[in-house]
Amino acid sequence: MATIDDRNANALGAAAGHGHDEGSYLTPKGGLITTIWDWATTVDHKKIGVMYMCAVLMMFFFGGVAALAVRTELLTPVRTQQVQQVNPETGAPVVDAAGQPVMKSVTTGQWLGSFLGAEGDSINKNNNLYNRAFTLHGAIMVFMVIVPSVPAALGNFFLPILIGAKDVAFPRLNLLSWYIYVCGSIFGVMAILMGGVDTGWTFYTPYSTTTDADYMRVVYMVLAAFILGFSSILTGLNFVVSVHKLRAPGMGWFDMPLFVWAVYATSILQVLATPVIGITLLLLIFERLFHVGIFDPGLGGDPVLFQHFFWFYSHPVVYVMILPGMAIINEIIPVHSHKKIFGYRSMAFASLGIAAVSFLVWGHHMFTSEGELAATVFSALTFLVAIPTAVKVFNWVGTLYKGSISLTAPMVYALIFLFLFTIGGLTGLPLATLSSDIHLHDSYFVVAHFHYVMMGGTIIAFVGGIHHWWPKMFGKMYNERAAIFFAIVVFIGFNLTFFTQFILGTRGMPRRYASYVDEFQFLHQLSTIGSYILGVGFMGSLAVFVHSLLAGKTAPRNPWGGLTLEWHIESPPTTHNFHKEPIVHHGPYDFETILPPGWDPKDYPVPNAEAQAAAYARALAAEKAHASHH
Amino acid sequence: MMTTEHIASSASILPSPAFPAALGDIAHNFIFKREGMGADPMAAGVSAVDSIFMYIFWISTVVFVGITVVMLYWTFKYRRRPGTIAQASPSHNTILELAWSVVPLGFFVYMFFEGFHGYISRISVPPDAIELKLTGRKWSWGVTYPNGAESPETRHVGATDVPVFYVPEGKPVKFRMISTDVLHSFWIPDFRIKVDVIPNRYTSYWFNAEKLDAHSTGTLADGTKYRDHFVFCAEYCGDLHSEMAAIIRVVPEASYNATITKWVDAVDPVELGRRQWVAKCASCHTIDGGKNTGPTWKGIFGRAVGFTDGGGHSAEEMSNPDAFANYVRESVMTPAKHIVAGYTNAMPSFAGQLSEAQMNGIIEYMKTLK
Amino acid sequence: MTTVPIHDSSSPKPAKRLPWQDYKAAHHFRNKEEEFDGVKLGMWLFLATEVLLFSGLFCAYTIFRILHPEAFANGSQYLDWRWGGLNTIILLLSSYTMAASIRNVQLQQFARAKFNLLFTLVCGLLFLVIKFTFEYTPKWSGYFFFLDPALSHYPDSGKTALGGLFHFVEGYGGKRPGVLFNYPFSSDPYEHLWWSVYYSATGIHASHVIIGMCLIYWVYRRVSKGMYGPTHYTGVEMTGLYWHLVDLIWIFLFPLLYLIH
Repeated sequence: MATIDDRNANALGAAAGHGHDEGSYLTPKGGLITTIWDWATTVDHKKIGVMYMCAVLMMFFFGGVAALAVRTELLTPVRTQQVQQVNPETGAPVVDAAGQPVMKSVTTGQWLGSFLGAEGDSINKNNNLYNRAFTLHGAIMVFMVIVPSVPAALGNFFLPILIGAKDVAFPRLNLLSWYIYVCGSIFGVMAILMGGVDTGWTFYTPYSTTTDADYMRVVYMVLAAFILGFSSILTGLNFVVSVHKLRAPGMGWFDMPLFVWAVYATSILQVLATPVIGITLLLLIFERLFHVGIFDPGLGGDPVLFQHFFWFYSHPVVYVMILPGMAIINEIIPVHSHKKIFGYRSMAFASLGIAAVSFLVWGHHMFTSEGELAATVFSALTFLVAIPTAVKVFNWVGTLYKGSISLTAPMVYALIFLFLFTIGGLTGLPLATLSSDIHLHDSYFVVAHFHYVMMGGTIIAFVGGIHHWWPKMFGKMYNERAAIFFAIVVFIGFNLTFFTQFILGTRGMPRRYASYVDEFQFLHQLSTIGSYILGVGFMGSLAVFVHSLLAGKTAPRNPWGGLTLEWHIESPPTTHNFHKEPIVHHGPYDFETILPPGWDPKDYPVPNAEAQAAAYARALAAEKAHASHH
Repeated sequence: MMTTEHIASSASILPSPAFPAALGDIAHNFIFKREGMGADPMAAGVSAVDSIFMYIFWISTVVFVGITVVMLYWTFKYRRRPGTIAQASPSHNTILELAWSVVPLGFFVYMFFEGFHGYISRISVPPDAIELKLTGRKWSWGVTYPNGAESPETRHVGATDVPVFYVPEGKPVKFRMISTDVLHSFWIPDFRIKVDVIPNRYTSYWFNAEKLDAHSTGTLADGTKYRDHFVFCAEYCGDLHSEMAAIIRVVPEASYNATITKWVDAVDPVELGRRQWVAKCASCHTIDGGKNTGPTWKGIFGRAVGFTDGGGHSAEEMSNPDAFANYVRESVMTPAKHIVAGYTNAMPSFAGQLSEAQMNGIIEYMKTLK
Repeated sequence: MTTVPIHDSSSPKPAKRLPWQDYKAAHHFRNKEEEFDGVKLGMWLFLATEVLLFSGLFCAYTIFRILHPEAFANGSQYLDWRWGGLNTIILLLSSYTMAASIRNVQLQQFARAKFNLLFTLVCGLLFLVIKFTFEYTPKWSGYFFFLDPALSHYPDSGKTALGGLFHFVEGYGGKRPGVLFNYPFSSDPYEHLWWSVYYSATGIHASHVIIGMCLIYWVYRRVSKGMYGPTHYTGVEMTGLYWHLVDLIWIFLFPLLYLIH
């Protein structure tokens, strides 16, 4: 342990020294055109992170609109009934010569059809619109929102800062992966504008190779997923090298913030799993264009092989989606409880353990199509993945014990995460159990389960993470009461939408249905109402952020009292993050001995707080002098 | 064989927290029972599925409530007070951490083995099972009985007429399943099991429907009681995926035998054609003039038809029995050749799936639909 | 990073300072050595993703070979191990010259480095020419290049193309994957699966050869401009690693496709 003086001074990185351009990274570089060009060609990880965040939020909006379209269609089932014809002028019932009523068949409940001009047409058109809507929702949310959300947006911004680096290892590669992401999204949007695809985001063969949709649309959509995969690989590769090579002096592996650990585990998954989906999607494109027959049963190929290939990637990707969510909770809970995280090492190993086991459980998506032996083995392995997940939940709750907890907006999101993710995790158990899975597989129970994990887990953590780091990213505070209010609206809407779907699933509602039998109507309507509330909640959160940008108070360096490196630097950070290479002398969560930078010793009575504060003030003064000097 | 009432108590003998059996029943009914249909989960092995599910449900409830209560209590109790900081407390505890890793593992091992046993019992087909051939196609189910009979009965479910398949009560029944096009999945929610239906490969599905006893949902014309169960397609298969339903009708064995014998005996061509319609055509072609995926069959004999490519047949041609028969035959065997104006190329070819007699039956049946 | 002592004093000392002598690491790295290590780690990770990309194809190969052994045996008879073998030798040779060029750069032998890089480039080109002229073209169309020794095994049909450069062999062509192409000569109903795997694997490999050649050309230009030298040769080394991987994948493909019957 070094002396207190140099600890803070160094961690702050503000000692006088060589100087270069050190304005906020957000400061425009000139006129509008210059600024746009500057952002478009930037290699600054922070700007790339912000650009990713904007793109991801935009795609989240589109995916959300598709989700509301799906829920709206399910407000009522599609029904065909025989009713007596009515004379349109007199309003009298029509009878034939024999006095018998003249009947006609009437189809009702075609919501998408009536919005999009296919009302009264065959139910195929309406159902096909529904199928396109849910494919759109799934493909956008998985490939363009959840996978890049935390790693590419918040990870890009904060991973280098948290390890004390000026940038990621390969900044130009980082920019390239952003452009690849945009390019992939454009292919996806193009497929949608051409009319969309109806394959489902899983592209199961032989449906995806034979469906009659316009020939090239499916190819474009698959190509979009293929290209987005490359973006994901490059981001992951960049992070792995950054964590290995760019950690600040004094930061050993077990001194890293847990956010870094979890993003590191995620990156390994991205690098190792994505190539397999790459070759699978490539073969799918060959199959669609040339009918090569590898997945086509009509040509001796094997459609179940596609499922194996697909899930070999897509299961690890489930953890690519959830681990970064956990990563954010790892930061929010200790910072807002001012408490060392419980079980640091078991948290780090749990992240790696989840990453490792996730490669061995892909077969649990196929209990109803694979052999008994495979199903049994995959079921057993699946339970293994539950252990590190449970450990993480217990550790988070354990961190609260004897803490000093402030119920800020990020903390509310973290608690919502714990609530929803616990439900999501526990409902995974009957799906891992063979006998109950063959009932629940491909039912609404599965839909509800993965929404609790993916949305209640990752998206809630992502939104919570934005609340946590917003002051740092943009230098503005937001209205916390409003933020908490909308967090609660989201919470209520979410549970109303998806808890009902658990019950629908156990009672026998299959997924991807444009209609349903009468018995399910009440629960479906509750779910639809919930989805509208959810939409209102998210739009409200967006309004809070817009208000913050326009009229928010200036944020201090350290609004929450965190100890990790980002709280030592300006809000928003300067172009090179640190004025001098930081040297790390304390762990990321040593709240019981270290005075958080910028905090008053009277409010935070740790041993030697006064001396720490004095050292901090000196360092700040030195930095000010340094800044005015240039 | 356990019925619903026993499921809760079977769960309570497991190492799960004690709870009143009545509460267990309420939870079980809430989770699994659909209102209106009236069908209880009645097949061999169902209680095993339900009991492991309810076991997991109660353990999960206890864990979830525990976590939530502790979380909220601590959040309240240790709320921030100005001028104080977090109290010193251990940042890890090896014994505690080991405990909460190993104890869940114990429960998981139990769940895995219970699930495994239930699964094996559900997929091992008894040798004496009656074997029915089941075909899944976009978007209907077809069943061929051992005597060659096919079901002529339908029930209106949702937007389409779906076929009704009779099965005997208390006897193991096996479906040998295959798909003619894309993946489907055969799911009877009341029997708690589904199996994928795959092109080019047979898969099997079996169940043993429980005796009717008091649980019937309707009465046949001859007064025999029956019980209906829904069949759903659970693997996404395209436009009418949500309409790809069927009814499994459990009847006494004598009634089952009589019914399938009746179906196969001396069928006149019109009736044979109607059965083909039920099994293969009803999901897309109505017989009452309603619009669906394909043109309605009502009045098709003698109705002029135009194609998307500009061609077509006049009303005179369509009234000529030979020309009409050729038109129908061509439409069934090579549906993509001409598309009726106003429709899309959605119909699969039925080449090789219809005998000459069945083909003729369809043509004769169409002629009767004035 | 290993520092290489400069033994070779025979090469002429450059008169003016070359760019590599003034090379500085990017600002977020502490020094050149750390940057080199970082780039190398990144490259190895990237190579791992490439291996995994091909592993999907190897998987498909294994599964379909087990399911339809006769189809694979029949199909592989159409491949001539001599062309595959020649291509293997060419790629091995190119790997050697690629490795040599790295050494040359480290020793400041820039002329030799440039020669070796060009030689590697030519080998890559030769590989592709053999692949397309002697392997793909006859199988697709039935037209053999007139120098192809395999031509002597077949009766002369008398049909030629491109001024006698290509000779048609009756009944040979049409071995392309997929039902979109005519496929009349299979002796096994599943033989198209073999061709699908063959064309997917070799086609994706060929695209890697092309990417590798572009990289080598890029490095060649930079060596010409004096961007690389004993203290900074990251680009040459990484291109070398990539080229070795391309070679290595072929080393696996060659026996699987050409030698096992």
